[in-house]
Amino acid sequence: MALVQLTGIEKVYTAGSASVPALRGVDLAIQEGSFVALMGRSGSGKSTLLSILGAMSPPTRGHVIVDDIDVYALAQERRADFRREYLGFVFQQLYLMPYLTAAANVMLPLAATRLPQRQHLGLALTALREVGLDDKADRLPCDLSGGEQQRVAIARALVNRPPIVLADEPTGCLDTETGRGIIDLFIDLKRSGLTVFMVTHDPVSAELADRVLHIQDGVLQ
Amino acid sequence: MRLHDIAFASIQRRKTRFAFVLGVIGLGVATIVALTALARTMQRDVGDELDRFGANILITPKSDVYDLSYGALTLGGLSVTDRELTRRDAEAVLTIHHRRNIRLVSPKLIGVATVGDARVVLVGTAVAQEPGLKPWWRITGAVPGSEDEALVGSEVAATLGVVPGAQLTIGSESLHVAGVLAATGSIDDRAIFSDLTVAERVLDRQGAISLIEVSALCRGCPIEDIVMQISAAIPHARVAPVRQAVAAREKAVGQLTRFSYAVAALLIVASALVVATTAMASVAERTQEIGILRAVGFRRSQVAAVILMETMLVTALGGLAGWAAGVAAARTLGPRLVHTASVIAVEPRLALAAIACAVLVGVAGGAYPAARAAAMDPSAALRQF
Repeated sequence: MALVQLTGIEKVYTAGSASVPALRGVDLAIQEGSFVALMGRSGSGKSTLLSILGAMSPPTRGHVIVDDIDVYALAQERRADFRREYLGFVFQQLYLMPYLTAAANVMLPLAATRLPQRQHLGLALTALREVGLDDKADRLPCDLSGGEQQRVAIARALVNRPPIVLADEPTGCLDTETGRGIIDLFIDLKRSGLTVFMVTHDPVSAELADRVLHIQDGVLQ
Repeated sequence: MRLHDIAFASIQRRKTRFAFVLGVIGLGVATIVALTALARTMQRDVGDELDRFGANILITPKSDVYDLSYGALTLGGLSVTDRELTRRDAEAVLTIHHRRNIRLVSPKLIGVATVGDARVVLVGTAVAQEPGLKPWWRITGAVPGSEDEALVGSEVAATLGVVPGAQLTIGSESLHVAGVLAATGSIDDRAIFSDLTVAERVLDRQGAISLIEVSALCRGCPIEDIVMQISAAIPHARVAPVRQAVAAREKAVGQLTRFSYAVAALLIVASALVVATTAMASVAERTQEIGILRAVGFRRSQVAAVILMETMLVTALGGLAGWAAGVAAARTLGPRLVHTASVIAVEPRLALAAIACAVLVGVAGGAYPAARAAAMDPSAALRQF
């Protein structure tokens, strides 16, 4: 059985009397431990699909089932718990807190948990070690390169040990070599059993995934 | 990492903005604390003045007084008393609801007696408790402790040439002069104070009482209520509070207290608005941060808690700083402003109240921005960037 199952997903954005369909009847199954890339042009519905998959934006119709959990049947606060337990996010724009060190940025998701505080730093350092940055734990984001910042963001996505990592254009702001390093990291994560779902414009990055999906005008090809 | 760590980090990052909020809260709390401290000091002063008056309720028989005059010639007055007071009336004072506020009840029988060739005012009372009622008395010798002892006013002592240890004969009673009063400038200088039963025999008025002086602990107690209750307990008596001298000052204190409450209310509302405006600007500026927190699994309540913690931390600090500044201002300017010689007291309760009030302002001002932050849609928040 698939770890993630999307059934009949539709999303319509409304602004006043106008309504714009962003997704039209998307059905998708993602197996556990797979690396899936989603490609499409701007406005094709990639980011909307990622938001819905990330339990951040409810679909107009359809169901998202993750590990037998109907995500949008959960109450708001439980859905936040679900995000924390099941999902790690990596964004194109990094979204690191500029006033927190790399370690503190990685620890951020742990602040929302009941995990004893003494374990926080250890878990953050482990996550930073996995992305090869444990020696830069006390650096501020502004003291790190773009690639290093993206690695910190990946470490933050991993610190809770979620089974699924969702990445939105993770190499979009990086040069080719650095971007390749990030994709290699995702391949390593997949090998360790994590499921990676990546939205990308870059066909070179997508080719390295197990499965490449294309979306056009809200329809999965 | 805990939620408060995020709040601390945010405050550190936005030092100028939070310093502004801290300053506004500090100024507001300092003003409230200074006004409250001054009002309390003035209330204490008024209480002390009341205490210096000794008896603050006077009970006399109800009587009608008719002026006797013919043309421009005044012939004095005629007093018609319905019913005299008795010892039972004095006991009735201690049966009222506010009896715990009654410190002393002093029934007195007053009349004119003859000592040798001199006519003196004889006051029969429980002489031993009189100094408690009249703290301004200065006595040479001792306070009478038994029925056969008397206390003599300064003028009487001078007229009769008696000193402590002398013997006096009033009517058929022979009394030992235990002490002599220093001049008070009142009727007490022309009186001899004896035991009530002795005065009853000398004046031949067994069981009669001329007046009852009552000392009530009235620093903040409802003296009007006590007067009403005594009037109800002794309906045939006229009960009057002795407070005219301090009434004006008490009124001024009341006005200052009400003014300080009004200023406090205005400052609290204004401070809450400043906190709300600043927190709203902070939330708007941190849409991205809030989006990240929500995306990584922060509950709405946790996001709201971070915003509220920030405002509460800053306002608590502002409250503490404001309390210190307010006490310093009251101590420095207080004596000049309200003409008090009293030391402005530093009350720990006032500090706690100031900080609690400031934190409440923080909660009130931060509640709406916190709710706005919590309601933010994470995907929409992140899409903005």
